[in-house]
Amino acid sequence: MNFASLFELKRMAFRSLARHKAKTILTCAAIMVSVAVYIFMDSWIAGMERESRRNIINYELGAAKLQTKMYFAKKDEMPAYETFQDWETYRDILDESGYHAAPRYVFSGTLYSATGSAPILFNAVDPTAEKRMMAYTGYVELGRFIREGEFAVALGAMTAEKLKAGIPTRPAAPELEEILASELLSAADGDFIRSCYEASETKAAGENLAEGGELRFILKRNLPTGDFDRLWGLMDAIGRNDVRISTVIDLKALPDSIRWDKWVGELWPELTGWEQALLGKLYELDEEEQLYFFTGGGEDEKAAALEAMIRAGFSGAIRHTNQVIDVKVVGMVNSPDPANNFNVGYLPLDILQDEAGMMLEGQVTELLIRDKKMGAADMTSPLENPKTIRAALERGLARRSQTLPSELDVFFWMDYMEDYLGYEAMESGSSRIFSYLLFFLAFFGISNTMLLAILERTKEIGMMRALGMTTGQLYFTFMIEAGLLGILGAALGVLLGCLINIPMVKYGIDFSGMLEELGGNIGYRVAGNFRGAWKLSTIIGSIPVAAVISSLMAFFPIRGAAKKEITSSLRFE
Amino acid sequence: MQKKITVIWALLLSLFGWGALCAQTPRAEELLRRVDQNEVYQTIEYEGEMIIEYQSRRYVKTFHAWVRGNSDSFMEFTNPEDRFTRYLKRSGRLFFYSPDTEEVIPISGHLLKESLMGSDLSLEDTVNNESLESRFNAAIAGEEVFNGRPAYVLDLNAKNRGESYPRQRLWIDRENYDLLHYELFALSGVKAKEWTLIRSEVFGARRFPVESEMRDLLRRDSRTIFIMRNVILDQPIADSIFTTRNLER
Repeated sequence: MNFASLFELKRMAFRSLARHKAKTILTCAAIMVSVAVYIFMDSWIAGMERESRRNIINYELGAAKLQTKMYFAKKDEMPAYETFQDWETYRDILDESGYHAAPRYVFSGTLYSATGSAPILFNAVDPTAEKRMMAYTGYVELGRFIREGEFAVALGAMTAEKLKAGIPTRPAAPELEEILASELLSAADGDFIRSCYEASETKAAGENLAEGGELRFILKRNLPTGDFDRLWGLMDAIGRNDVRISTVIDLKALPDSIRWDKWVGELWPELTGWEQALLGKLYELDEEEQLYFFTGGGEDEKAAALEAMIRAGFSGAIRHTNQVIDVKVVGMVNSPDPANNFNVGYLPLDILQDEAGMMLEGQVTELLIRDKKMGAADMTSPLENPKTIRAALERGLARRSQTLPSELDVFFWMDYMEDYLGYEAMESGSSRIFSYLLFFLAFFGISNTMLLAILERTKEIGMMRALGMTTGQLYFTFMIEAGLLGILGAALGVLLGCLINIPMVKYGIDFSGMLEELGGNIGYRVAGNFRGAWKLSTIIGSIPVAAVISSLMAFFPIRGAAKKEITSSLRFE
Repeated sequence: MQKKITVIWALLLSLFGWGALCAQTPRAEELLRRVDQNEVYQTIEYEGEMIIEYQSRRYVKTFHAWVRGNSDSFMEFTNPEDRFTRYLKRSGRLFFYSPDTEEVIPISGHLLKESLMGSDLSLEDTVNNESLESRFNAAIAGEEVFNGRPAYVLDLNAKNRGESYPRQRLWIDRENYDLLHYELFALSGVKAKEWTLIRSEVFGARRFPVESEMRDLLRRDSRTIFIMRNVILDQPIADSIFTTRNLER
């Protein structure tokens, strides 16, 4: 086949497309829609994934964490007793090496307000370090972020609303009435509070609050900052921001005595040989009491025995003390990452050091780490590789004639997000399968179109073959025709997909209402506004992929025509 | 001179009175031992009922419970809404079985402190069976009449760090050593819970509380009446009760 004949065959394919306009337009439209939907869905998924990952790094975890290996191994249980000291040294070394580092002590508890309670994940943080490193601190919607030394908590905005703490943003009429009924407010205060809200239905300020029912009021968002501060102060004055944290302090401690049945049933089988030898040395059985008593040992031996018990999961080595801490809500966090907005509270780390707090005595559960050059919109940098961070730490410690304790290690953010990454892969997979199905349905349409085109032109094919057209040329002509259909449809699809994507990428779609109804958890770490992302590989790749698939789809109908005897083709009616 | 004699007499009399009072008041440790003798058991099996009153609503939960020592317990709820919900504490580890999901869920230690089925009690409260004397230093804070009964008031402070409630205050009946009332304080000193005896029964040589009221003071307008029926104390309980197989059956 020379170039001239190839060109002639291509011209034939073009002419066939032009001759069957209706079929061409319909098939192109099907491909266009499927390609546009694919581009849109792919952009949506890519946008959610990118934003979620960015939010996890910048709003939740940092790029990496310094933590004890034991905590990491049991991270799903949140073992608040797995703490470490001297974090200030590590922070300083990381600072010298170009990293931000923020200490945290993470624990769970129940928060009681005057109206209800909610389980909360508390992050005790260094407010200064946290502000430097974590982007959520810039999203304190109402009130302010916590400060060092104050018994205060900044709560996720949705939980604060639920517990009726802070400034109500959408109070029902009875809730606003209850606030206004407080004896601690003057008439002028009451008028001021009323003026800060508008009725959701009539949008008229000063709606008759006594009507009650389902009437809701909306906090005016265009109030001067001073008014927000005054409003917060009034909520404070009526005690709305006074809350109690009920939690448990988990302490690791070598038991003075262990009951015989626990020793034999729970502890001993879980110990390794040398651990059994060590504990056998430190404890002695009192047969009369049926108790193993601690007989004494060196500090290193005691520490090793305690670690052995913890590793073995022996419950007797962890003691739980009930704690109640009175704090004031000072701010409501409403960040682009829903994980910060629901059932999360931030407290100053320094107030939890003694018996009034969590008896931390300088301990933390983790040190969050982030490259100083990275901003809130960035993903991770090569410097944030755990090995690189660890090497920087070890170099800094060596300069101080110290070494990194063996129980500590640096872990990457992804190591903590196995559940999320699994969800992401599943969601992305199922959405892509849906897109592929749509894609293939459209291309089966091409196969059908080609089948009909070939049936219609059976006589014509017979004639061309009688005049010397080879089977190869036959395949080439019809596959080119199908490929052209694919290119045309995909090009239009790319255009349509990109046009739909422009507002999706720029503005996104606001699903915050739906998210609130779902309790803030949709799997992806995106709060409210779902945005797409440009994925050039999909946009560029769509056209050649569509052309190839379309051509291949034409293969089987052509094979049927090529197998037919020329005389049968000529007689075909 | 007359004045001096009067003062000496007064001193002697007050010393005599103090001595007589001391002779009548048992030592704090002795009181704790009496309480432990009444309340600490080897094993217990009973049918329980919790009447929960929470913010003007009332819920009734019934269950069957088996407890052995302080490390093993098994509870199975029998009221229609929670039928077949089960809790197992074995060797200090807690497991929960929900008939809805038909799954056994291990619960980490601190959840022992969480509310049991929405009541004012935690699971720990229902299975706690450790002697007070071995864990607390006690001091007599005075004497009061509580619910019409003369009582000794005892202040307890934990001997070791890590005690669940490091400070407690007890009201002990002067005549029969019933524990009439106690208050539990968190480490920060905030009063977290209070318990009041409603009725106790005699089992052999001991008096055992079978009906009581618990208030979780962090919950607003909340109290739980805890009733034990058909109590069997210190009888062997089969090992098969405290198994995950029993939890899932």
